[in-house]
Amino acid sequence: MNAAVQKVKSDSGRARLGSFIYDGVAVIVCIIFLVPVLWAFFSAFRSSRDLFVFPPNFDVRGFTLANFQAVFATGAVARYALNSLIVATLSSLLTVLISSMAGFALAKYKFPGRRIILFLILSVLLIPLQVLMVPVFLILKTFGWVNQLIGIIVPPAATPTGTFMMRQYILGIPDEMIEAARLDGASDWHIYRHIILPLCLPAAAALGIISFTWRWNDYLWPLIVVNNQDNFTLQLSLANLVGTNTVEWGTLLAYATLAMLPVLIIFLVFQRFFLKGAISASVKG
Amino acid sequence: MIARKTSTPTADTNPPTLLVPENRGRTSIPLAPYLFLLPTLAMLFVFSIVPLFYGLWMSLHDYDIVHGSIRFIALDNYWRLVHDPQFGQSLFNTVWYTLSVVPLILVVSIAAAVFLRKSTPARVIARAGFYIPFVLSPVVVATSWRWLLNEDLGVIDGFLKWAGLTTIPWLTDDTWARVSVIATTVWNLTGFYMLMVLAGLSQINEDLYEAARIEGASAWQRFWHITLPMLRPTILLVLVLATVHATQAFETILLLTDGGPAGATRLIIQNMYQSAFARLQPGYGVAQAMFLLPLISLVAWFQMRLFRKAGAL
Repeated sequence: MNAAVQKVKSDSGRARLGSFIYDGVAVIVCIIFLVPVLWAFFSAFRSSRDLFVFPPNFDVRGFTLANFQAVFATGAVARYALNSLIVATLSSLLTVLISSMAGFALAKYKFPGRRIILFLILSVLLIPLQVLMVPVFLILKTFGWVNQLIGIIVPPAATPTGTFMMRQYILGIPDEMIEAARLDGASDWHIYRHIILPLCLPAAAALGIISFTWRWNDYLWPLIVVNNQDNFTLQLSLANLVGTNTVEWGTLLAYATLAMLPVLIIFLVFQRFFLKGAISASVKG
Repeated sequence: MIARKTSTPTADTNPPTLLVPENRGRTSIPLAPYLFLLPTLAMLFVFSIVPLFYGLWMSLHDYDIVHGSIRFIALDNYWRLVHDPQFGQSLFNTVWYTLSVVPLILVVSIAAAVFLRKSTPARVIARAGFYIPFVLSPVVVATSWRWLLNEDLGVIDGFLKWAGLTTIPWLTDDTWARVSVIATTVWNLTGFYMLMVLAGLSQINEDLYEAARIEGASAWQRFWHITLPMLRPTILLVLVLATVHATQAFETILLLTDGGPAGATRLIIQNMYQSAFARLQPGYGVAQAMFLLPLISLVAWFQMRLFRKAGAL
């Protein structure tokens, strides 16, 4: 009997060791996988002298912020970053507001056309923006929104996935709470504002954070809508730099590092929102 | 609301329908839900539905932006497409791109998911790591890869040179540019599909594996005879979504190779973009996009089925 216990123990010990090695391999493979971005990140901190040396010099003392200084020396970066921040913030707030309203209507009311409307909203998912690029551009032109930040903020804010996410969450809010408020004579808006909105905060936060990163990263909308430098977003100005023939790689990589930093931080802090909500928010809007 | 108060619960034959006082009168249709839906519907209408039909209309016209003249030419744009070698090339490019990217994504994401299936802390971190490329913007992805693959200055060719081998023209040779574009795409999207497969894996009953283990099935047999068959719905979903992703590919490639060299990596969407915005022939550009519509509707139908299964409709 003793021997049997012994065997089980050593077995689990071996299993634990195996699992440990396995974990190590997983992390190493993951780091190798991330080399393209890690290498860009690392290079951003190298002086132009060390940048092209092979084998690379990993000496920490050689690190420099010169490339970042060069980025800010060109001036307009702060403006582009501000534009990006304005666009991403306002657009994602708008998304959360209108999606929660629409989600509330679809989850908690019975009215003629409810199913049809939900079906219509979801079917919009299937029209890719790429196909609409040209007509959307012409429509924005008639609005006078071309070259305006509002042209990047408003159009992409209504998303079927956002509406759907909010609807699914609001379905789970107990009807009794709404009933009670209704008996107290609360208006529909009051119920939305003071009951639904506070209760669906977790879903609203997830939607807000995910759409903030989409809008921050967005390249296609700004590319279609904006072509005067003053209203460039960070992504658009970076793309413009990449396109030039005489590339100052150090500056460019520092620029790219700055452009990805906010999104990386948001991702690392709110990981679970992304990893959980990924499927529903996948088909980006 | 007042009517609601007077109705006794027992008088309701139906379960109480929320927020809609039933005995307020036969004609009462609640206004509030429509108002709540209005912003979303209006915006989707103006920025998605209208452009779709506007695009269809445009594709039937010769649309001269410079002179502002519009002439109805019926199907001429589509007729022109068939004879346009450049469009033919981009169509061909889109096909091989899709046929390489989709299976690669499928294999890599299943491998990663199976490998990281158990939720140990290290593997949860690795999952997040694999997902990171998906949260990066197309501009950042293209910049990083251009730096990595640069012919004179990039680290890979630097290594080859250092090792005394010939360097590889990653972005300037037809074949290598295609390889680079595919590698970048797979790298970019794998993490997302890995999560999808992980979700699928979590649905598989552990007892199946336990039983197989007792029967003496090897790890490979368990994967082949349990995991893969049970993953079928997920695999289908990955195939469909990855196909959509691939046929719409545009931004990263535009920045990575600009469709070059000599159009070797120019896909349909980029061709359309060039016709419409660079050559100012929006009608002809839209006609190219419409070419993708049958494929997209097929996927549409499929996605609707998935939604229905999920109980959404």
